[in-house]
Amino acid sequence: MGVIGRLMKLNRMAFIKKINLLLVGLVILVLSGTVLFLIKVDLSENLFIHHSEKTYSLNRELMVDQTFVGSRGGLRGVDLRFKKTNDSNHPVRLHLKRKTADFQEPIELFSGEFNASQIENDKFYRFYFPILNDSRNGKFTFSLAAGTSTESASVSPIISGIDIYLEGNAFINGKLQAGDVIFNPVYQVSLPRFLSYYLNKIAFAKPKTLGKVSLVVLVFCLGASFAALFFYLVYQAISFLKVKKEILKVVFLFVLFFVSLLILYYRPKVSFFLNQT
Amino acid sequence: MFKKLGIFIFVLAVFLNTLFWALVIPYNDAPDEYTHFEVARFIALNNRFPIFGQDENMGVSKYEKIGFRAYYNASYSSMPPLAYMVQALAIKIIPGMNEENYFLSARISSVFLSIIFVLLVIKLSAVLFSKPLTQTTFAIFTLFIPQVTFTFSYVNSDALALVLSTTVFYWLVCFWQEKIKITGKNSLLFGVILGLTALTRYNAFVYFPLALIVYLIKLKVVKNLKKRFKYLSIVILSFILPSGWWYLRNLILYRDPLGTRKFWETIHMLYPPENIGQNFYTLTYILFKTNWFWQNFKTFWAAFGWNYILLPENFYRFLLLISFLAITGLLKKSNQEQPFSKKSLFLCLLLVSFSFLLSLWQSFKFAFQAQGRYFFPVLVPISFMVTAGLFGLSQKRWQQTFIFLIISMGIMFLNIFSLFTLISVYY
Repeated sequence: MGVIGRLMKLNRMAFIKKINLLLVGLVILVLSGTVLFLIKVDLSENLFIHHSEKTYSLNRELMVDQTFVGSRGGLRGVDLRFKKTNDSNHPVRLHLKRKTADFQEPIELFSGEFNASQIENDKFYRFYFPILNDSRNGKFTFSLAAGTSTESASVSPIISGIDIYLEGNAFINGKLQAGDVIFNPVYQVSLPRFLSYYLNKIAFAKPKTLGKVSLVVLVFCLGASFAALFFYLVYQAISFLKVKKEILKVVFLFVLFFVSLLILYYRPKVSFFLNQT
Repeated sequence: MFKKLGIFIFVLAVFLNTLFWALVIPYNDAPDEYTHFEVARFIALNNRFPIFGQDENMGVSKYEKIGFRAYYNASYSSMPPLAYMVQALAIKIIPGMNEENYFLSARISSVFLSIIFVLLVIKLSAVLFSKPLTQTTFAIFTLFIPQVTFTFSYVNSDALALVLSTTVFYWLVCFWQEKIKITGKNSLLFGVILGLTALTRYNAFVYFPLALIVYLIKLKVVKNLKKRFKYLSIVILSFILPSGWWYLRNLILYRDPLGTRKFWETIHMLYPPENIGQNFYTLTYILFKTNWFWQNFKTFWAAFGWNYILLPENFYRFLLLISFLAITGLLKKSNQEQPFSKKSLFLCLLLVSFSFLLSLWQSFKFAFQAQGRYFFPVLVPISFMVTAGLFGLSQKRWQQTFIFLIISMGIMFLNIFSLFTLISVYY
């Protein structure tokens, strides 16, 4: 007899006792999750959402570069946001280069093309590269160019008004700019690292109104209350179903649903590039 | 015992979650937060209501920070003030906040409103549905819509409008289903609630014609004509007393009881109506040539910041699928055995239609505003229809349990995902 079957056989009080035990377990689980706060990870967000912006439509006479430093290994892409200036369609090329030594010119790693018509205004697009495992501390440059005339140029990267990203610079036709291109490096990360990364962002960056300890307590309480709610839902579902067969049917459907979601999520990722060289 | 525990878990989870959102979202990264906050702050510091165009920042509302994007808006000082009064009270009574953090005190008042909202929704669930499973689905679905959490986490007037319009809806359903009798005391309470609702947002006004109709229909139950007249007078008076003074003030100050004329004049002065404004868009243009529907749909569920932080498109498509399934469930013939009242459903349909027409009229008459939060006064009727529809799809216990788990856990997941989306943008 499985766990569910045994639970079904218990009377109400005994069931509640079991729930208390399980709740304690869940609380411990959440508590251990909260410990992730204590692992410091690198922050590399660079979105400039609150700052004034400039736009320059890419054309055959205007090329935009942005340098950046890999904050960890596993660089696999960049997120870029654009402004649309008109509806005309033309190809836009994105290059990724890496500088191996200070005195050398950057070496091109990847390059890909997409159509301006595919771009929507003010929306982030993710451009995947083959994973660069040694990207930590690597000096990279991505460049955006379009071989079109000034009149039909329709896509512009967004450049912030002030310099926020201190480890890199934006260039227009090689000329240094005051701000940076709005971008976000994308890394291959493990789940614990991903979670600690986000928890860290809050714990080490903002909100400044709360101290770190009170924030950890709040996150812990929040996690515990969600866990309790989750458990309450499962309890209600089990109490509603009377026959073991029904429970198995629901579990089966549930598993099927999640497997389909996982398949959809882990299907081969399609990069925004139309072709990649 | 477990029921009480369940309510406690709901309240705690919603409260902590909303509080966390309120701390995560940077100041003024929510629709017009600075404009709302300025009015609340003015009331707290001056112990009086501001006068549009006369007091500082109460004509054109400004948010200027060096190196940051500047925002200009028409002040909300002529708009219904109840939410700002509550926020001003919070600014005054919450200790330990310096002036820089007053906005947090105002936000905390919105967070506390979420507790009232949870209790209201739980109470309503028992009135609308008979099965515990359906009740829980309705409650969790309503409470964890990401846009609802967002609404309770920043300074605005939508949160209070949502709470009060839900209260009105509760009374309407109870009157309609004859679960609350028409007495002098109930008429007084009902009138006061309507009056307070009139002091929140104009979107909530969709309830008033229906409230009048429902009340008049149910008043027929009272056989004594004298009593009928007495109850009706109580409702009217208790509606006018809490709210009438404000509209009278507007009439005296601006010669406009609603106080919207000056507001729109200022908006059109700031943003000349070359692409917004009176009758620029025709109704057919709005409905068929713009993305008004889709934009409203998306922003109803989850749109954060100044409506620029959205979830991946597939989430909205999934929500659309859920909505279509709900409509199918509502239309299904076998749904006659459902534990919800047909009368309640009819009431909901009317409210949603009124709200739809009001929002459309606003986009047509004043400015193109495809914002789902304008439908928030009828949020509870919408989630009632979705829940009723989904549970109408099947009568089998195991299938209903599956719907319950998918919807409740799905909406919780969506809420957590939205929080991570916000954090990833802000930090």
